[in-house]
Amino acid sequence: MAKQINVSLIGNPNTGKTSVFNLLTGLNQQVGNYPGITVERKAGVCKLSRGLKAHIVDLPGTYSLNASSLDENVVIEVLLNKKDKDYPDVAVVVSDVENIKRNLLIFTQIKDLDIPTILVINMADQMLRKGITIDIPELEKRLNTKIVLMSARKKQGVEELKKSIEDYRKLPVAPCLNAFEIDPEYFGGLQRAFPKESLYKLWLVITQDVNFANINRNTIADASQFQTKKNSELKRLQQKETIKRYQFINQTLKATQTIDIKNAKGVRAALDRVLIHKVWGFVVFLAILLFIFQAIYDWSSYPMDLIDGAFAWMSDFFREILPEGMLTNLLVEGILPGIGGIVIFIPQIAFLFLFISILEESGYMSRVVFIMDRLMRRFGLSGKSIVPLISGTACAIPAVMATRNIENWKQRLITILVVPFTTCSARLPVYLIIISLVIPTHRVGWFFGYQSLTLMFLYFIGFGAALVSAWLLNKFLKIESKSFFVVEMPNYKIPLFKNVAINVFEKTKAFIAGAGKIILAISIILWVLGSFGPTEKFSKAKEYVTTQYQENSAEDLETQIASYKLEHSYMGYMGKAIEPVVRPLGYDWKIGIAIISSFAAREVFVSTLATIYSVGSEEEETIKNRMASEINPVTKKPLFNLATGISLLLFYAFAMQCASTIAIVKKETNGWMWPSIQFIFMSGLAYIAALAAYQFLK
Amino acid sequence: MQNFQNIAVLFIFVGAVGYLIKKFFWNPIKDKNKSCGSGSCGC
Repeated sequence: MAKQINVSLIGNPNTGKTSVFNLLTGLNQQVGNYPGITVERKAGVCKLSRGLKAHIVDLPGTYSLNASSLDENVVIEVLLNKKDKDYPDVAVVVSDVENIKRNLLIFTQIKDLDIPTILVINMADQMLRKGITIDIPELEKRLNTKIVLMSARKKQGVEELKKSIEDYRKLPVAPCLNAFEIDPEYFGGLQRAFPKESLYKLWLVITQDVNFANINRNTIADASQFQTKKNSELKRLQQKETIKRYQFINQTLKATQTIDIKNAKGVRAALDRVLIHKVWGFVVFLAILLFIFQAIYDWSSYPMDLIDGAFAWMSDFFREILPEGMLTNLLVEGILPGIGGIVIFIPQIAFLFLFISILEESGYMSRVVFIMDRLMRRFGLSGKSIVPLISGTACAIPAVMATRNIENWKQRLITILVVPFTTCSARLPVYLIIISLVIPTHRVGWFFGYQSLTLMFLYFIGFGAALVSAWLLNKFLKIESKSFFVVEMPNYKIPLFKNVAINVFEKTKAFIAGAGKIILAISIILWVLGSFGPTEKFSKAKEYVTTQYQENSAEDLETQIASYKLEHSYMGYMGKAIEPVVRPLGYDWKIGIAIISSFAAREVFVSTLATIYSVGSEEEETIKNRMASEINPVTKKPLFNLATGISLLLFYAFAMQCASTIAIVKKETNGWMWPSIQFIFMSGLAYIAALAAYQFLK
Repeated sequence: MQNFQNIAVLFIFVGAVGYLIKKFFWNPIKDKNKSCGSGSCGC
């Protein structure tokens, strides 16, 4: 078997590290944990020459090895632990051409760990436009490494990088900074106590409190020849280290880099004057959101109708060609409608991810984070809270995990507790189907429609609920802590099609794969519960109905038998049991069943209704038509009217209908207390809001 | 043929219930020796 080279891609956020990763690995990627920008673990394989392969891990973006958050710790753990399967044979530090000085800090730290390190200067195609010139041979000599100039956007330099990775054994591993220079006495003692260990690794073990090999902070403190220092003194030495490193970096760049500001163009400044303006910034953001929500509706309607029709046709087709029996019924009435109920939303979810991805790639999202910081602080949140809140629009799970980079525990806890209010993609199918049933398609002006405005309003409700809850929690939680907020403002750039495409593909795939198995399992169980019953009323439904409605036509009798059987099935009895609780909200027992099953995941709501309405149905019908034709047995009017619809929309806007989110909150808060409080609060709020809406509108 | 379909549905049903139990209620014992951030420790 050919030797595999372990490569770690490291760098500051927004240097184009992920673009370099995509360029090296293409679609040969495995995304671990959960999808999301800041905390996911991405790994991929890059084919080199001579049958060699590189196993590339895209580590979370970090400014230095002095970790202040949990996801930055991941980088240190990988770099210090030789037993870690991702421990690199070679590290590739990605820097962008405009911020080399800041990027060199982490480069020098990694180089001092005795790991062969390549420096990639990305966005090199912009050097001329920015008025930057670099003496590469001289810089290579001073940094004692190999430098590769790249433009991930224009796919330049990738072959040279691959070649450099192949030749990693030729790279010198001499350190940039001699650790003795930081404090000769202290580091001398440290080296005497552990003569065989790398001095800088020992230093990181002490300051970052991590383990490597068999050494940890305690064994160092216990060593008889050496006494470590107090935390305040260690902090002082860390600052001294940073100053020494910047002295080295300044000297190096002074000799190798020139920047002629007169040649630089000022588009960025002009755009920033508007986009981060305290009024115009919000106006532009609002306009962009409006455009996105309208486009989600307008652009996806055709593929959605196509998918809906295709699933209805498939059910009909399989019923025709397969032999009669339970398995055929399960497929046609259970599995296909259940899966179809979620697949139909792929176009809208893909469009949402497409827009978010374009906003992130273009550099605009960082401006949103910046303008939101002012707003966040008023509600007891950190500017960093906006990242989880925005990524929560995809899924609350990575969003809860993304709170790890909030250093302040109180702000982190509040963010974890309020993030599930933001409208995640799992709510989207519920919103879309209900809105399409109860909100008219009229337009306001030439572009915006009532339906898209309702959808946007629901996003705002979720965000507003998160902010108000955060404000309340900030008032009641008595935890003292301080924090600071630094946001990176990357350059504006035209999004790379490949990056956007991969991002949309991965996130849509994760959405479907994550919920797909649960939906399949629940569809099967629901079909079985709806197709069998405990009493004679189910098994002899035909006799009961025929005796009762003798005058009805054959077609009407069939429908009544199907309805009677469903009502007396196991599912019917379960639904009837919970009906008293959901009746005040305007729901019947079928919606009650859908709400209970969607505790597993919100999107199960739609597929549950699709399965329930198709049990016993022989007709080829789309999900929307089935729901639209459902009649409320009490009022004899359509079940999904404005009052029920708004009640359902509000219920799903506030309810914590996601078992996986509860699990992740339990994990992140180390106990059941916070997820329990969160669940009770959100469910209570959802019930009250839904009740009020229905009683007011009915 | 009917019997085959009935048995197949029974197996599929049991599989679906088993999957959901495993997914939401069954917690495997975690390896405490795994360091944070390594492999699939997920911390």
